[in-house]
Order: sequence, then structure tokens, then C-alpha cells
Amino acid sequence: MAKLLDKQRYKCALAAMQTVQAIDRALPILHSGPGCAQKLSDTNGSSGYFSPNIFPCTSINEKDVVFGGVKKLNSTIDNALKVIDADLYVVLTGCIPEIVGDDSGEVVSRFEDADKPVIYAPTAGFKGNNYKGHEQVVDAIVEQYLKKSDKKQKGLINIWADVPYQDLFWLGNLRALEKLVAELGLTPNTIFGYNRGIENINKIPEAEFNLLVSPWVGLSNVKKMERKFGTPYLHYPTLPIGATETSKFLREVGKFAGVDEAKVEAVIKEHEDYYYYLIGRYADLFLENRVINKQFTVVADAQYSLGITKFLVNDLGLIPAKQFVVDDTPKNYRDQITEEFKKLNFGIEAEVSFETDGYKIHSEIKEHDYHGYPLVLGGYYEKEVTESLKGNFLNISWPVQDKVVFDRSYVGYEGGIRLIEDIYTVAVSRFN
Amino acid sequence: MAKVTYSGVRESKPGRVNDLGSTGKEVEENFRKGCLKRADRSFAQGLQCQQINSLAALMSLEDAVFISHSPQGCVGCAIMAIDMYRVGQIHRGVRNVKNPRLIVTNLDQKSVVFGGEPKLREAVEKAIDRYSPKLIFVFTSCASGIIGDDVDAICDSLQKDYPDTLLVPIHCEGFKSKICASGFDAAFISINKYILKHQKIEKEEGLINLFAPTTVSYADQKEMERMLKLLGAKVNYIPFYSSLEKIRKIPAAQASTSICKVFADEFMKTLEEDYDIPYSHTVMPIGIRNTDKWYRGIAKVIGKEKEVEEIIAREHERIEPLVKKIRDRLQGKRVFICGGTGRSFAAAALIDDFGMELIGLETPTYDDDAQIDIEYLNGIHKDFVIDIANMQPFEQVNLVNRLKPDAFIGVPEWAAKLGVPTTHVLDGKRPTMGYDGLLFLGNKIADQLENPGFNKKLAAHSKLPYKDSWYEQNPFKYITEGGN
Repeated sequence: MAKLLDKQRYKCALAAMQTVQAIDRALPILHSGPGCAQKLSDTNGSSGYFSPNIFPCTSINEKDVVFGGVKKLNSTIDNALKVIDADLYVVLTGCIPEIVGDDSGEVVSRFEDADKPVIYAPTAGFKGNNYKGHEQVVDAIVEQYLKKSDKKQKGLINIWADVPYQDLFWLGNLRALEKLVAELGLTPNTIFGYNRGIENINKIPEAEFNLLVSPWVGLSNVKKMERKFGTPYLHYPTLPIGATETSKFLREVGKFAGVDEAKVEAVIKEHEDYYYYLIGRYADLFLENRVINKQFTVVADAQYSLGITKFLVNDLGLIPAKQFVVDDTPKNYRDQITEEFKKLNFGIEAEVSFETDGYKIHSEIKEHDYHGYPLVLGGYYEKEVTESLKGNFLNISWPVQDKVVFDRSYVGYEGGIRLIEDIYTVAVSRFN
Repeated sequence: MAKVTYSGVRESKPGRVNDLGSTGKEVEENFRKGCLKRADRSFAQGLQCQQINSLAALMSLEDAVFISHSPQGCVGCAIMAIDMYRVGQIHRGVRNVKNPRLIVTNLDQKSVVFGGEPKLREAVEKAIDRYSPKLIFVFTSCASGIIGDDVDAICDSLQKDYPDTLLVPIHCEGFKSKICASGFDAAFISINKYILKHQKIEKEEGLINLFAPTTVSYADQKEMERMLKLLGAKVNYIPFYSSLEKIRKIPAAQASTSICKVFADEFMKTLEEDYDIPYSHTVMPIGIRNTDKWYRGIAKVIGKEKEVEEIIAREHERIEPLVKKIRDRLQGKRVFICGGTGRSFAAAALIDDFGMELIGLETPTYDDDAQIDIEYLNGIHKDFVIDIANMQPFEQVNLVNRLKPDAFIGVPEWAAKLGVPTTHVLDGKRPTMGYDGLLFLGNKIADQLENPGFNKKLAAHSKLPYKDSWYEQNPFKYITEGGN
């Protein structure tokens, strides 16, 4: 696990309460210290049916630390079932119960016969960050709630992507991925966001395959589902942003699903025609050297760092300076992701650093010669360093402060256009 | 009798209650008779923990690095602090706006077994190497507390290696208190122990310490400073947007006062004991009555009772016609209030200026200080329900649904979904306090309540997440005896 965090880029595993929150009518129950829900919440679209202040919490006190908080957890679950109207109750444990040794799993097992399912995910903050916590929640659903299904639904594809709320664009991105998959004549199944929820969770074991669109998050989940349900998976590591990557994505998904090649090419052609119509109308803006410089840096999780790098190089003709992956990617995935950064058009390779220490990242950005003002896409922390270099800054990764995002997306052909709009809106509203 | 050192945990004060459902009249009587009992809730929703308050109290100090000795989630809300700090700098005209320098030691599984000392040492060394700060605050956490890291001893040994940076450990483990304001006390206890060190310094004539929490806007700061300057005082505004130098000046003051009921109240007692600084602890200066009371309080301490009456008379003459205009827009509305200790009581007094009636009050703590306010409120509002709760939206919606107020003041999310017009008295960017703040706030409230359209639409299209049966039950059903 990462060492000290200067300018922290993520939260702890208990922040998987946001993964639960993203499932319609699923309620996190926190067995944790008193402030955890508040500390782990964001204000980015968080005041829906369930919001962090609604989450039941045992708010462990000094007495519970000494004598254990099991009794309080029992009464909290019991009463949550009576007071709060949810379809799925997910108990999440924080640091304290896991240090003092509460057997939370045993308490949860007492609710096996409750009217609604109650499951449990160990998410102590000291054990991992919220990328890992997200995987723990999906694991808990697979292990404790779902059962293998003999029935398989032809063309049904489960889609998994990055972490809700940690990724500001999670809702729009998932909907965009669904749309793309649906255009190939397949039936997408996702569990996060409006009107998905428990019914879609129930369909998971019936899918023909799992489609994972992420460099690493969720890989252990789809592997587990392969073992438990016999569902194969397609791992597509790059978030498809813009025409080059999205067309590649459609071809690969089409091939894996056995979709007729002509059909796939027809879908691609229709999108690319419109995409390049739009690009063509603004080509003068992109061809001008004076609007933005050619070198850029992305400071984000593996998903955006890789996806945006590929897009800016392959579609917009920019040159990558050093890229930073800040999600504490587990070591066993790093080589494979590093290789992906080398697969850029015209033999271009991007150097990538897996770094969680913001001070070092800022030092490297300051020292690099961008041959002019840099373009930096990153977390809100990068605003300060980019301003000091008079560069162009776009806040695309956590923490996010200067944006309101409902269901916008950077995924697909349309997503690529949205990202160009955002970058150039920053550029043209400045005077450098 | 031997002096008992205050631990910083607000529950350690006898007679303080955090879990209670009652009415204004009943609670006043029961408190007087000594009949209020400590309780707990067998079902509850999340709270705010004291570590947040300790961090928030100090986060705007220049020349400081903040080290959270914790796992990676404890500063998950850092963006709120960053935003607040940046807004505060911009309002104060700072050109090169900075982020607060916040480092997390990132306690992991190994630390839980073997202790987190190496991580804390590394964090302090790196902080000094990178930022050469004058101050480093080390905030403890639930995890560091339970695994038993001796943060004081570690800081003490590091202090010898780094004489140019003052190391200040702050004991703010979340599980130790349900009252998040304990975190303010923890911060001040450490400021006294590690920075002021009980050393008396030369007094500065006319200097007043003005203590203010993070949520106070720059506009409010200026209004408070304006009012104190009218009394001929010089103001040391701390600890918000101040510095080590200004903190060191605290003992030079002639008097102290605070803007918030639960901010520096305990610290001001300590300052009187250790440095002979008299203080005034009254109310949050929101609304005419509270502003007058706050103003008279500090004037009395510095011997300006006559002057303050002249100023108050002048200010009243100036603003009363303007307040009347607001009253014409708000008169007669029945109000439910939910807020922190300072603002909830302040709002309850404020609405009287506008002729509104209190029907429900949700506030985190009941103690002898709250009793003074309740006695006053019982005098002006006939009958109101009181819920001693740190948030607990499930109790709140049950009450709001029963009482059907015309307006709700406080965290608006849930009342709004019941279609009740909502407004706020907390605003970290705009005026709320003093005579000028009152006018701004009053007009804002009136504007907000006159068009309930958004809330009505929201209510028509959303459902709160409680079972229908919950609304039929006693809202205080889950308050049980035997809390600690």
C-alpha cells in the first residue's frame, strides 16, 4: 500500500458506501466511528433517495471500543430494517470494529431470514482505498447474495466500469457504454444509477459475459464471477474516449460477442461520419498552434490517465509529457498498464508514473519543459501548480471542486467531443 | 480543592445531554430539577466527528502543515476544507491562492500490528523538508488512538531534532466524543500547552481576542471588527486566517470574546485562569437581541457599558425601520429550526425579530448554557418541541411531518422533500451577523420563503427513504437510557 499521502487522491475502503449508494435503493449501514459517513461523502450529486446523513451508523464510542460494538450493530441493523425503506442493506465496517475484533459477519448472518437481503463487506480504512472497497462491495453481492443460474440470456452483457462518485462522470459513462453496447444489438446490464438496482443485480448470473472497461478495478470481481457462475469476461482496459478508441472498442466487443462484422462497421461509420463532421468544423481551432500547446499531463486514476492520454494523442495529435496514475494501482497490474501507455499511434509512447505523493508529482510537473504553457488534466490540487505555470487546467479527477456534472460523459464518440469542448473552453477563455 | 484538568471531551462536564426528546417548557423544568439523564440511541444515523472540528479550526493558519495520523479516509472531506480556505483567501484579497498543506500518514495493516510511529516520523520529516513550516499540527484518529501510538512522545522526540518547527499534537480521536465541538477544545488545549506554554507576556492596551470558527464569513469578521472598533478596541481575530505570531499574541489581550457558543468557550476560561484575561461568553450575534447581548457582554468586560448603549441606540434607530420591512414579509410564519449549538439558538432568537414563531428546535447538546437560551425562548415562543440530536434526519422528518411548519431553517434537504420552504442562517461567504448582517440575512430569508416553487416540485417528485409506518411512531422511540 502507498506510503504517506500528500494531496490525497482517494478515500478509504469504507467510502465504498458510495458504491452502495449508487445502487438504486441499496442502503449502506456503517459500523464505524461517528464521523466516517460525513468524511467520506462528496457533494457531487449525493442528495438523492439515500444520502450520507441518512446512512445508519453505530457511531462507536469509547465504551464500544472497550466492550465491543456487536450489540449496537445488531440493534442498528434490526431497526434500519424497520425504519428505512430499502431493497438491499449492506453493512460496511470501518477501522475500529476490525481493530477491536468485532465479529460483524456473525451479526449480519443473524439477519439471513430478514424480509430484505442484508449483506456485509469488510472495508476497514487501514486495509485499502475506495477502489479496493468498491471491489469488496461487488464481491459481497456476488458471494453472499447471488446464486449461480442455469438460465443464460442470449446477448445479455454485464458492464462494469470504474468507481461511482470517485469518478465524477460515473453515471454518464455507464449510460454511454450501455448505449454503445446496445447499438451492437446486445442487451447491456448495469447495476448502478437510476432504475437499475436489485432487478439488474438479479440478472447478473444470467449474462452471456462480463464486459469490464477499466485498467484494473473490477478485474478480481469478473474473475470471481467466472469461477462462481461460469460467466466468461472481456477485459477492455481503456476507457473509450473519442473516435479512435471507441471504434476499436466496438470492434473488440462485437468480435467477442459474435456480432456480424458488417453490422459493427455500419455502426462505426455512422458515428465516425458525424464525429469528423464536428471535428472538421472546428479544425481551424485545433490546427492553430497558438490556442494550446502540444504537450500535456494527466494526473488521475488509471482509467482517466490511460483513456485521456490515448484520446489526446490518437485523436487530437498532442504529445504526452509524463502521465501520473494516482489510484495506488496494485503492483501486479502495473506492468500491463505501463504497456498500454506505449500502444499509441505513430510509435509514440507515454512515460507513466504510479505515484500517490502529490508533492513529487507537482515537483515533476514544475521541472518538465512543456515547450510552453502546459495542459494539465487532473484533480483540484493541480489547479494551483498549473496556475503557477500559467497553463491550462481541467479538473477531471478527484478531488473535484469547479464543476457540476449531472450525467455528462467523456465516453464514446460524443464523450470525446465533450472533452474537447471542455479543454478548448478553458483555452479560449484565457489570454495565454 | 485540586484543580481538575479539562480533558477536552465535552461529555466530561456533568449535566450535559446529547440524546433527548422533549418540549421547551418540559426541558427547562427537568433541567432545573436535575432530572435530565444521559441517554443513547439504539438506532442512529451518522454524526460529525471531533477530528473534523479540530482540523477545521486550524486549517487556515498560514505557515502550518497539517498531519492526520490516520488511515486514508479520515481526510476524505479535504476538498471542503480546501474550498473553504481558498474562498477565505480570495475574500481577503490574497493574490496567489494556496491549498492547505495536508498530509496523511496512511496507517495500514502493518501499523495496526506494529504501531504507526515510523509513519508519523516520516511524515514530520517530509513535511519539514518540503515546506519548512513554522508549525506542524498532528491530529490523532480513531485508529491511532486504539493501536496506542504515543503521539505526544513521538512529537516530543522529533521536536528536539527540529527546533525551528513547533510540533503540536492534538488529541481528537473520533470515538471519544459524540459532540463534535470537543474537537475545538482539543485544538485549544494543545495551543495552550505547546504554543502559549503558560507564559505571561506584556499586555497590549485595548487588545481583544476574537475567537471565530471556520464557518464565519469574512463579511461577518469585518462586521464584528467594526463593532469592536467602535468601542475603541483592537482585534486579534483568531485562529481563522491567522498565524503563529497572532496566536502568540493571545496572552497579551485585555479581554476575550467568541462569536460562537461552543468555540473557545472552554479556552476562554483557561485564558482567564492562566493569563488573567477576562472574557465574555454569551451568544452568536445573529439577530437584534443576540447582537445586543453579545455586544453588551464584551463591552462590560472592557468597561465600555455607557458607550455601548449609545452605539446600540444609534444602530437600532438605523436598522429598525429596515427590519420592519422584513417583518412585514415574514410575520406569523411557524418555523422549525435545526442547526449546530450556536446557530440553532441564534436562529430561534432571530425569528422573533421578524415576528415568526418557533414550533420545533433541533440542537446537538443540552447543558446549563442551553438552559439560559431555553428560558429566554420559552418567554417569547409559546410552545415548541425540542430534539437534542446531532442531525438524525429520521427524527427530524417525523417531527416536521407532524408539525407542518411554514418554514424550515437549517440543513434543508429533507424538509424540502416534504415540500416545506427552507432557508439557512449559516453562510460562510455572505453576511449573517451583527446589525448589517441581520438585514442581509433577513432579506435573503424573505426572498427564499416567498418562492417555495423548487421545494414543492421536489416534494412532488421525490420520496423520503423511510417506511410509511415510521411517520406514525414516536419520533423519540429510539432514544434509550444508559449512554456514556
